[in-house]
Amino acid sequence: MVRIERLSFIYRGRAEKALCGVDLHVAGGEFVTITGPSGCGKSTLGLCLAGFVPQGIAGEMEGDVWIDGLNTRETPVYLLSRKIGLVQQDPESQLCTSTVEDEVAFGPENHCLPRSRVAEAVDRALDAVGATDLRRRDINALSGGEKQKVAIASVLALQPPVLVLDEPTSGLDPAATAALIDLLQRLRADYGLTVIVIEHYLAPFVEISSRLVLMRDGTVVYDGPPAGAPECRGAKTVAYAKHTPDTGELIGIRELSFKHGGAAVLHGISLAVRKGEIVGLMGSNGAGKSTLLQCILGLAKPSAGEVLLNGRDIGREPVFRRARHLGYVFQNPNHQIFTGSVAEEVQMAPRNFGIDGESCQRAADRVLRSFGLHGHTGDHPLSLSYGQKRRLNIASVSCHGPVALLLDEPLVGQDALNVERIMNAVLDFSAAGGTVLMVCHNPEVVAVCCHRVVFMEEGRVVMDMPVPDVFEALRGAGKECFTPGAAAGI
Amino acid sequence: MKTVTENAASRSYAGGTFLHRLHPVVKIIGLVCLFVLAMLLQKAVYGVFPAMFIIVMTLAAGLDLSWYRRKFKTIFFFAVFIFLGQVFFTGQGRVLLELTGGPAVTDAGLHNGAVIALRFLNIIAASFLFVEITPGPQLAAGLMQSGVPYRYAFLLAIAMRFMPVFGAEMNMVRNAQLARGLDLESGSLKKIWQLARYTFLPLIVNALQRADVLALSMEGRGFGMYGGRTYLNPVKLTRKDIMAGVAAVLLTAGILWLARIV
Repeated sequence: MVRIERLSFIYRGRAEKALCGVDLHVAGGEFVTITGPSGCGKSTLGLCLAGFVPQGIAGEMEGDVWIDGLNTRETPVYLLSRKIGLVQQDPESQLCTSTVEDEVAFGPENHCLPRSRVAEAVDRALDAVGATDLRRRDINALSGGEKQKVAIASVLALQPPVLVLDEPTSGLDPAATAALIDLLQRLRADYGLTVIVIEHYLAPFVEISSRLVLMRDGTVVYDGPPAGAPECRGAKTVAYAKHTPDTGELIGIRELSFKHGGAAVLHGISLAVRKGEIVGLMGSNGAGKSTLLQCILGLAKPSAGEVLLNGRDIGREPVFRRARHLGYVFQNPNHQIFTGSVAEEVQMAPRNFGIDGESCQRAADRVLRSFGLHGHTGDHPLSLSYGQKRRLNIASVSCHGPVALLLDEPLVGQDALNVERIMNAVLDFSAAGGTVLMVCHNPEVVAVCCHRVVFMEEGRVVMDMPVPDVFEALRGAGKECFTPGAAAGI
Repeated sequence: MKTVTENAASRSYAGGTFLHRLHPVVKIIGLVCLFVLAMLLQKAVYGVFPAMFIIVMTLAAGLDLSWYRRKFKTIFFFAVFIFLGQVFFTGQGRVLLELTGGPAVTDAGLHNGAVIALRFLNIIAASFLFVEITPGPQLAAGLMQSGVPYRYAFLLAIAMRFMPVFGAEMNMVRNAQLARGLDLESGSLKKIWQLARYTFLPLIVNALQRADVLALSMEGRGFGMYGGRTYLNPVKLTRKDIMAGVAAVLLTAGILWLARIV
């Protein structure tokens, strides 16, 4: 069904090849997962499969790609769309209309199918992804998981036999990830689809993939059963050094409630976080985890309750004063990059807090070294890789010496090496007495790095337990998807 | 699962009143008529004509007039500002009041102030009403199906889709600035300029990234492949639409003619 032969590609203006002599054959009905570190060329491979390379993206391509007998050099992208559907990493950005129905109809409408056939295609695609109930919904009102479903339905509407998904789980909570896995399995079984998933986070895909392809530096270094892959043998277990926290409370939350547009989002949350403790905030998207972090920093104004820092009520303090003690990292790295160089970026917060001169410089050097960015001080932050940007985000709120870090999904879209680097920096911060509250959808990381898990549901804390016990309790409550999987390969 | 026939039937953006269901092109014609009336009528008293139409349309659209009170919170302030500007700086006409050391208030100034402030309020009110009764997707679909090349008309659909997304992003960027110790409430001009830079850089970077993803997503589904395309939900021009459009044009022409001879 998919045949890639001696495929090489170099982006225009770049010195190094993104792909270098890739050979890959995928039979009809297979489920193949492609993985590898950031920058290994796996997303470029996805673009080659859909024909965007060489047809839309500037660069030099060697070798050939055939999809169901069609050569991607010779077949226009719009005709290839009937053979292969590519769902990109960010579902939000690839939906171009305002309603689910219009979005799914978009492809068949462009192909000028008769109206009755467009309607049939929409029915079929929505039914295939189990989203018929979303048909009339406004795209902007959908959750991340629902947008992902619509993005898949919108490419399936053209009935391609091959579906490629680039990092489909990034931004999804474990329950939505489990639902996505079920959906992909069903599409393969019911419609005979060939599924190719490009992903960093392997754990959910190990069991369902017939093959795993591991890439490094633009080449395929492993192609075989998942169990045999070096990333899945469990050999690469990272030994994180977890520090024992103090007994004193640093952040205290008392009966905190928050309302948005009249609807209660948080209901009387009480929590005590100790000095040096790393607490994982888990739960489905929409459970109120990010809102809780925002209430602590003052970005969201609670309708009731108190937030204490070192026993002092900080509820009336403006955000920029609280930020002196609390470093907050948001989900999207690009939303929090403001300056023209890595050094400036890291020194921005200390300068705003009146820390200037040599002490600022020293702190910046120390933080950049601890996050492995000391070789990039003069670089523009936007020239960094995705993983480097994420580390820069955390470094930028650590430099002025906050006592706690509030991290909102810091590991989204990060490869194994970056996860390790970020978590080691977080553990160093904790070892130095810093407190960390971290929203994280990766149970494997939470299991080894966090002291405690606070599990939230519909704005309430439903579990607050130390790490080994909480996963037992979650399993008991039927929430296996939030517990570390046996095939975890972090 | 719904049947094909049900789906193929025009969704027609059902719901709402007769005004909501009008073809978007007819609504544009109505809006232009109101603009023409507001701009061409030169006496303050004539400003009442478009205002009356807007009030009738607002009630016909099932809206309470208090709806404008909410919408016009800052608009009234600007209208007063425009009125006072005209009153104090027109300078011609019979002097009604002379302020010591300041400009004189004249009858022409008062009249000009009333004309321009009413013009401003009428245009804004008509625009608010148009936006309220014309959902963005309906407008885009209406334009595309009325012969505007769909490659361009789709820009409007995309803008409608991403407006709330950019609003949310703006909020996130603002929060990220606060989290880095920036005090957004107070500051000098230099600080405001710096804040603007800090805001536009992340927003533009994200917008460009989104544009890349969106372009691939649309091209990958055949956008621009042919000169035309099918529409699952046709926005049809009915006899009622034609009658409403013709009535709006005739009424406008009639009022303009009457205003000339009075």
